[in-house]
Amino acid sequence: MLTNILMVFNLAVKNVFSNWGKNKTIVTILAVSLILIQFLISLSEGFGLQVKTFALDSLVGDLKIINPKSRVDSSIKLNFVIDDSTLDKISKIEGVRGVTTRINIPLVIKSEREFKNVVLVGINTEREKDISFLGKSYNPNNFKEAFKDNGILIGADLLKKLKTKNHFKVVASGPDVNEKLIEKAFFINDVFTTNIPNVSELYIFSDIKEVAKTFGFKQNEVSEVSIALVNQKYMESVKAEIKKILPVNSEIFEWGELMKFLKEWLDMMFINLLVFFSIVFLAASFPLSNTLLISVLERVYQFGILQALGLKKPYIAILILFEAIIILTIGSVIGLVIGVLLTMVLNHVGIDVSAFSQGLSGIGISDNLYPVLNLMTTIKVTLLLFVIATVISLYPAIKASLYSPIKALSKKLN
Amino acid sequence: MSMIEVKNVTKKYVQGKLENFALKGVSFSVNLGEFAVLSGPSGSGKSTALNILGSLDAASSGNVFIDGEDITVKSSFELSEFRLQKLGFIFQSYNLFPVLNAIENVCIPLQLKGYSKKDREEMAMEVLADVGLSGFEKRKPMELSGGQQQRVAVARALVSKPKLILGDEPTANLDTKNAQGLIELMKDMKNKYKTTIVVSSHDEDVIKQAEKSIHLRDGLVVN
Repeated sequence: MLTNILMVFNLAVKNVFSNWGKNKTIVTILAVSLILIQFLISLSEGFGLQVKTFALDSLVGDLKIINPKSRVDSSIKLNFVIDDSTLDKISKIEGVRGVTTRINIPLVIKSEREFKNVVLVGINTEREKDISFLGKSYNPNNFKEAFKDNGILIGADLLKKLKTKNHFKVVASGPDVNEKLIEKAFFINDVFTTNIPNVSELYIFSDIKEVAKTFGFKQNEVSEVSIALVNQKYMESVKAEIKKILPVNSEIFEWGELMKFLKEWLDMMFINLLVFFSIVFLAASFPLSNTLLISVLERVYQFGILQALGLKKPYIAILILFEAIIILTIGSVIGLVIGVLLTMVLNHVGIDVSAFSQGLSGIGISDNLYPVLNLMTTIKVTLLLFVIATVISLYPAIKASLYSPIKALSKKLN
Repeated sequence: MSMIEVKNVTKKYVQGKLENFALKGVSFSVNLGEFAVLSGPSGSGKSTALNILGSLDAASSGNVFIDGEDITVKSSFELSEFRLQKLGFIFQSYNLFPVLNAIENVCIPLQLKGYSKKDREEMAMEVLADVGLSGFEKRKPMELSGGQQQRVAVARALVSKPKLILGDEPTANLDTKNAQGLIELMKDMKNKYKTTIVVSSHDEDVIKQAEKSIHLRDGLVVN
């Protein structure tokens, strides 16, 4: 049996290369299909990464613990208590990169000339740097200085909007936990910059203890706990672990639940990709099957000779399948290698999408897209195309094996 | 002792309501070690008879015994094995694989029988030398003349030392000189390899050189 298979394989290799004129077209179609698929996968990975980074950086995080009623009511009374030991337990769960607490106070901030609705975010200066954009956009070592003496950190865009300057005073007014209106003067001690849309205009930051004191929060009372993960694959397991130790009046949400429109946008993109991949798979597979079928019909008499020499019918089918597999392998390897190299280059230089990205900045898409290589997904998709194309090649293979010796020998083309 | 026993074999083709009999109850035998020819004009049924002897086609009725085995009762799988173990074929159009060189073409039956690469190359080289093609092992069919290609086909038929070699008009595509050379070769090889050879032909020169002639006309044996 092994010698039969080796003989058939040897014949298949020689058939493929002797018929290279026709086969190179199929190889090209396969390679181009794979390059396209690889490019789209890496582009969508890049999209997804930008969107998820936006979710994380814009203070949503991978997971968030909040009072569930606060999703529909922005009252600062809707908080909950979480102690340090629970925070430590959460930080030690496998897959958790960092965890922090925040107090969010919606208020109006006024300068000498302008006013604006903002959210005052009380942050934990030790933990926040591992979670949100503040760790990247601002030197965490400067938090202490920035929050000293009623100091706040505001965004450059907000500073511009308020028509004021760094180190100037602003007055913030908003209700405390007892719904009593508080007016407090803050000093702009420092300014942060970020390219995340809206964040630079919407948030001002201060120390969580100071904010708690000013707005009447009790000890360990917080508005939210934000959790960053090492990898999205830990989402379910971390969520399950946290649910076991959730504080009273709180619930845990994934970023996709809190930014539903983003999640749905990504899901829609994924579905579009699936549809596109299906079309590409079929478009790439059928020419292969068609070429093999024509090749089979042109060589039927050869199968008669092989049968006359004693080769059993199943090996005729194996011969055709081997030819299909050889063509697929060559096309796949070429497509994979070029696709990976292309992604690596584009990941380095980026793709300028500024002509299209204006409307997408609200979901974190910048002017430059960086495709991200996901080798495992690419290999899985390549294998899937390989399997589908091989299955489609079964038809010509089986057709070849069904000819009787005499019928096959009678088909010699002159 | 009979190598081939054909008993009352009929071959019928049905096209719609029409029945056409290519063979009408033929019976004949060929002894072990004989060089026999199935002769007759076109349409006499000689190629049909040869295809049935080679188990490439099935008889509509009757029995065919080759080396004591009734091939009319074998399954398709058993017939493949039978052809591999006991038969060799020489076709009119040589039917070599154009993508394989001479030695690779000759090695095919040995590879199907499970011989190692070393053994089959040795055996193939020996047979190619016997048919006068030493030094031509690496040439592809398109690099050989018609006569040389037919010699490769003879080598392929002989290499696994079959009991019976069947040739369907093996000299039809050769000039007179090459045709004569081929018949001489086949007779020599028959003696060396102790095999029985049956060919179909309408060539008088071939018929004259055969040890036995079975003449067919209109699907019947007439001698």
